[in-house]
Amino acid sequence: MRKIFPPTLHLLVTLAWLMVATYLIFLYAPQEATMGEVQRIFYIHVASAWTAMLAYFLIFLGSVGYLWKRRDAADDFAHGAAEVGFVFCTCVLVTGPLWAKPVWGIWWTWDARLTLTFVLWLLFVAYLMLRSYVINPGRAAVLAAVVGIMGFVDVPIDYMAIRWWRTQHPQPVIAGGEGSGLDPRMWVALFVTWGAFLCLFAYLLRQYMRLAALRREVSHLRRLRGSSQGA
Amino acid sequence: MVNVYLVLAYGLLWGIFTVYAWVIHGRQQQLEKELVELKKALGQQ
Repeated sequence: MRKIFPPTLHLLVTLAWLMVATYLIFLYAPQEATMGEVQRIFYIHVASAWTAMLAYFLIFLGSVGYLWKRRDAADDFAHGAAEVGFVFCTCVLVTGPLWAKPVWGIWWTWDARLTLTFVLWLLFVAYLMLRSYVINPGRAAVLAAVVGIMGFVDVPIDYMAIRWWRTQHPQPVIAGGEGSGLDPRMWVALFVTWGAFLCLFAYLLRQYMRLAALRREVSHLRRLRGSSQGA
Repeated sequence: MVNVYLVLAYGLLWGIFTVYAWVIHGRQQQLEKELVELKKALGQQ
């Protein structure tokens, strides 16, 4: 992977993609009639939310993989997805209130979608705290995998919340029924932004995987040095 | 007129991503340095 698509090239592609997305958001997509300029927060808010949900799905896959095969790579993958997913989920909780305040007149309300997204953020926090506070690495990996699998139940409920219940949060733009949907240029801006965010997510996850590999190597050499000094 | 909420949302988003990328890069550099030192120490023994 490093030879076919080196990290530096990955970073350059990500930055170029993000620049294209920014151009589409501000210069290509039309201004929304009722909300005006502030509606442009929608593109980064929705793209961050979809990426955060995907990240939790990857934690779920990595956790199942680790409990099944007990491979360190699966655990590193889940841990990396949790760390990067936490960053994206934080962006959702930051950009959402900044859109809500001028549109609804309030920063936050405890409706189903907002509460479940907050719960998702807490699940990321719980996963990462567990990794930090359990000293035995094997035990931490097993306990985190259990949180990763059990917590995943929040993701489909969070995604479906605006379809199942009447919420303050806007109705879905995809399969939202009559009256939902977007201008075709808004769709282009949204999907290009999501693509750029996925590329950024993959880049950060790769960086985390490299960090995890370094950490294991350092820990192995520390043990070697300890045993050679003790001998 | 520039919308303050829009500027804040984009500013904070890129701020969060930049800080995380910078932190992860710093952690990598620290480990790479420790790795070189450990290899050197083990090579001398």
